[in-house]
Amino acid sequence: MSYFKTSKVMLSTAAALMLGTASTANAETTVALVLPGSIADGGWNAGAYQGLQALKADGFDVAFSENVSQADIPAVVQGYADDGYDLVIGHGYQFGSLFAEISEEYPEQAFFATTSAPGNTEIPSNALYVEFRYTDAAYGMGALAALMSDGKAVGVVGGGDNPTTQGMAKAFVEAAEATKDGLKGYAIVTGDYNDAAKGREAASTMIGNGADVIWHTADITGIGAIEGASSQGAKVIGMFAEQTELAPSEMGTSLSANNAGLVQEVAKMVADGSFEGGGMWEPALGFSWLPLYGDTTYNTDLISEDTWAKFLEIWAKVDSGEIEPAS
Amino acid sequence: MRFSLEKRDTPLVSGWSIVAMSVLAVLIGMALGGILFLPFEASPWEGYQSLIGNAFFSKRGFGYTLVTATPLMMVGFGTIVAWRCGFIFLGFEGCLLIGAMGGTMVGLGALEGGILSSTAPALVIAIALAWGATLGALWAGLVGELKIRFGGNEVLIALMMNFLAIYLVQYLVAGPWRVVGDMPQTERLPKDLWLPYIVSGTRLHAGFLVAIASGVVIWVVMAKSRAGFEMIASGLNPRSARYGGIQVAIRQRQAALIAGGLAGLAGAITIYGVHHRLLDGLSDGTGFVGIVTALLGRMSIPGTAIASVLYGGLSVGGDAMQRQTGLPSSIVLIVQASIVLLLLATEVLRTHRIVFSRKKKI
Repeated sequence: MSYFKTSKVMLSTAAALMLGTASTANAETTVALVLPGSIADGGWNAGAYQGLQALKADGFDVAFSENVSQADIPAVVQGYADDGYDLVIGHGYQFGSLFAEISEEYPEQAFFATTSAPGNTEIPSNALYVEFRYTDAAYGMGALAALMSDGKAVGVVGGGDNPTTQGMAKAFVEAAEATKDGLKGYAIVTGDYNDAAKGREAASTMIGNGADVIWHTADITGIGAIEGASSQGAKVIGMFAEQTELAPSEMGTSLSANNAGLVQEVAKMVADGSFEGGGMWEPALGFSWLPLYGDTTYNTDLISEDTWAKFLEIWAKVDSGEIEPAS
Repeated sequence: MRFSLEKRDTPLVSGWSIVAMSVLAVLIGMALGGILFLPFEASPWEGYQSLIGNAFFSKRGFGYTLVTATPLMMVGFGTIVAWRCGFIFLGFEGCLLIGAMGGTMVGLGALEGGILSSTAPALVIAIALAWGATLGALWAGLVGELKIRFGGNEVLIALMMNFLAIYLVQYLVAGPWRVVGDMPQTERLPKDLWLPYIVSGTRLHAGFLVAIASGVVIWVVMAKSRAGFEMIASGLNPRSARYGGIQVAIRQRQAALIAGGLAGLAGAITIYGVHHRLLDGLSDGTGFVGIVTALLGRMSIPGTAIASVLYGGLSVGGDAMQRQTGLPSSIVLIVQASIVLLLLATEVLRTHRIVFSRKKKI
C-alpha cells in the first residue's frame, strides 16, 4: 500500500506467515464488525457499517453486531473470534485494551480497533490500531479556515477537555496564524461533547471578537457551534461526518472520518495477507480524513479553486511531515 | 366467533401441562417475532435455527448459556427467599454491583504491592467471593432494617439504592480505581485470580458450580428446615405467623441478608469468572431479569434454574441470531421480550381456559 506507512510495527515472522497464508481471496475472508452504537446514527457507526456493506458487495463474508454495551463487548468479540472470523473489527475507543488482552488467544485471526493503541500494554502481533493524526488534521483545518477568512480572526470550538482536544485547538490556532499574517486564531474548549448550547455560545463569543470562520472538534457541541455561527453569517467547517445539511450555504467543507475506508482497507490487508499488527497503522491524512461537501469536496461559492489549491499544498506538507504542528 | 376466559374448576398443576404451555408460548412468540424479520429479507427459519443451535446444541454456545444463567439463577434464588418471606425486594441490581465492587476490592488488594499480594490465589478468590456476598447481604440488610424497624417501603428504598450502587461503581471506575490511560474500568485481574474454566473449549467457569450449590442449600433451607418454614409462613400471612409464635421480623431480616448475599456473590462471581475487572454497566439489568426468571420458574428452585438457563440461552442465541441474519439488534430484543411475556402470560391458562363461542343472534 503506497499511501500509508506503518509505525512501531513489531511483527513476528511466525505471525506474518500465519496471517499471510490464512486467506488470499475475498470470498474466503470473514469479517466481523462490532459497533458500540447504532448502524443508523448517521455518523461514526454508520460509516463503518457502510464499509462493511461495501466489503459484502466485494464478496467478503461479513457479520456485525450493533448497540453492544461496554459490558457485553468482551463476550461479543470472543463470540466472533471463537466462530473463527478472520478479522474482528472493534469500532471505537472501547476496544483499545480489550484487543491487546485477548488477541493472543487467537493467534491465527486478526483484530483491528479504530482507536489508538493503549499506552501501557504490549500489542500482540495480530492486533492493529489506527492513528487518526488528529493534530495534523487540526493544523490543516486551521490553514483552511485562515484561507477562507476575509476578517481578522478564525476560531475553533473544542469538545471534551482532554489532551487530544487541547492539542487540536493549539494546532488550529498555530496553523491559522502561520497561514495568514496578522490573522488571530481563537480556541474555546467547552469541556463537553454533547452540549449544543455551549457550542453556540462559544461560537458567538469568537464571532463577537471578529472571527468569521468557525470549525469544531466536538459532536453535539459542534453542531451547536455550526448552527450558532451560521445564523450569525460566519462561515463554518464541519467535522467527523459530512455536515453540509446543517448550514448548506455557510459550510465550506466537512472533514469527515473515513471509517468506511478504514474498515475496507484492513479487510483487504487480511485477505491478501499483507496485514501487519503489533502497533499503530498510520494512514495518510487524505485517507483517514475526507473533505466532503455533498457529492463534491468543497463549496465553490465560499472557496475558490485557487484557495483550495493552496490548502491542498499545506495539507500535503502536513501529511508528509514537512510541516509539523508544534503542539 | 368470539372467545372468553373461563375459570377452571381445578388449576392445571401437572408438569406436562406446564411444559406444553411453555413450549406453545415460545412457538407463538417466535412466530410473532418472525413477522418482523420479513421487511429485512431475513429468514426466520435460519434465524431461529442459529438461536437454538448456538444456545443449546453447540458445546461452546451452551457454555456461554450457562455462564449467562449463573448470576440469573443466584438472583432468582434470592428472589425466592425474599419474596416468599413477604419481603418484596427489587434491589438485586444494587446488591450485585456492590458484591462485584467488594470482590474487585479484594482482587486489587492482591495485585503487586497490595496487602494480599503474598496470599495464595485460591484464598484470594475465596475471600473475594465471601466479601462480595457479605457486602451484598449488608446492602439488602439495610433495606430490610429500614422496612422492619421504621416501616419503610422496601420497593422504593431498594430501587433508590440501586441508583446509589450504580453511581458508586461509576465513581470508582472513573476515579480512584481507574486503570491509568484507559477507559473507565479497573485493571484486569491476573489470570491466576480468575475462576477456573470447568469444561475445556468453553468459558464455563467454576462460579456455575457455586450457583448450583447455592440452589441446593436454599432448597434445603426453604423446604426442609424450620427457618424455611417460618420464612414461608411469615410471607403467607405475617399476622397468623406471629400468632403461631414465629418472629416474623427476624425471619424477614434473615431473608433480606440471604437474598442480598446471593446477589452479592453473583456479582463477585461475575468479576472473577467473566469480566475479570470492574467496569461501568456491568450488571446490565441482571438484577431485574433474575426476578423474572424466579417468576417464570413459579418461585421454585428447579423451575428458576431451568428458567435462568432458558433465558441465558435466549440471550446467547439472540446474539448468534443477530450475527447470522444481520437483523437490527432491536428486532432480536423484541423477539426475546415477546417470548418472555407470553411465557409469563401462560400463568393465566393454568387457572383459566379459553372458550370459543359463536355469536348468538337475538
